[in-house]
Amino acid sequence: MIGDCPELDLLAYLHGELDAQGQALVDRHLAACPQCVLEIDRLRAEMGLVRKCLNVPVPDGLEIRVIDRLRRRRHRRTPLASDNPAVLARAVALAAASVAMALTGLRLISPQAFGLIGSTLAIWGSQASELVGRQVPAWSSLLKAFSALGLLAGL
Amino acid sequence: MTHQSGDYNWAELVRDHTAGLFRLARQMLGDYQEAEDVVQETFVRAYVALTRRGLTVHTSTRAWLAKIAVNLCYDRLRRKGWQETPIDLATHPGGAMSVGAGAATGWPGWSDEGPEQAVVRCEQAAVVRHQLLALPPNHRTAVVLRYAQDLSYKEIATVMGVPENTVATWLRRAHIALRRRLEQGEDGS
Repeated sequence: MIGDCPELDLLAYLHGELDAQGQALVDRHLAACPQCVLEIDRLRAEMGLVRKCLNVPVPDGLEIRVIDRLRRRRHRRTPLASDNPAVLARAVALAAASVAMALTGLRLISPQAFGLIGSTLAIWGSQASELVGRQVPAWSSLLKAFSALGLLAGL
Repeated sequence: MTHQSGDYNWAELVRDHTAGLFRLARQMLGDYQEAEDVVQETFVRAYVALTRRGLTVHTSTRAWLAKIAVNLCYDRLRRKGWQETPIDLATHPGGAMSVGAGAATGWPGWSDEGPEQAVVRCEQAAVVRHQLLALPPNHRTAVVLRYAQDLSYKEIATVMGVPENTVATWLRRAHIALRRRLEQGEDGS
């Protein structure tokens, strides 16, 4: 317990953490309670001592070293999730599974629409393969496979 | 309070928060070099989070950086098995146990004391430092966040992931423990 009046949180009062009502209550109490006034003085002294003990000197040049490190970081490329082959493979597998499920469902509901969509996907896949293949060869193969699947579905 | 990457001037941010973060890490880890490493890592993580991942900060910048630093300190302490953080009080900067230490360390208001006052102050400072290190890690972290970083109870609660009442309790207990040690020191026991 801090102080002789346990219902009052004098530490929170000194920290400015009480609401206006609580602050006013302690103010009124302090006007009539010399023990709590003494307690407040002791707490203030302790707080000052702790602050001074924590106020250790900071190493020279630390700020400059931090800025330098941030500058070096700015010029370094952070690998993104899309650069990670494992993440990429999982994303592609998930997308392929979703498309396959959607097409299967569509085939059951409407075989004609399924064929039409399959043909369209085959054409898109083929065109996308040519465009993307110049930039990322691995994606080109994937899109060709996708196109072939679409062609099969169309047939 | 919400901040995004574009809101930050990094040179200003480093200037405003380096000292506080260093004192926080220094007190938690008890080692100057490790504290410096934590400060640098804190800013790098903040930078990556804001500029590369587009994070939006919903609390005060001071509290957010403190949270990163506290987590980094906890990681290091965990790796060390939460051992007591040893500090050589006689030799580490800011811990000189001699008359006039205030002037040597640059502590505000200490340089113009007489020799007797300075001795008493040094003894009290040593007791406080020992007591801070003897506190349970959570209590110590709350004290450092309050007195070195000037965080509110709400911000400390956010940083430490506990309710505000818990923060208030930890701070009260830390003061009680500190007072007990100071009184023991005065009694010469």
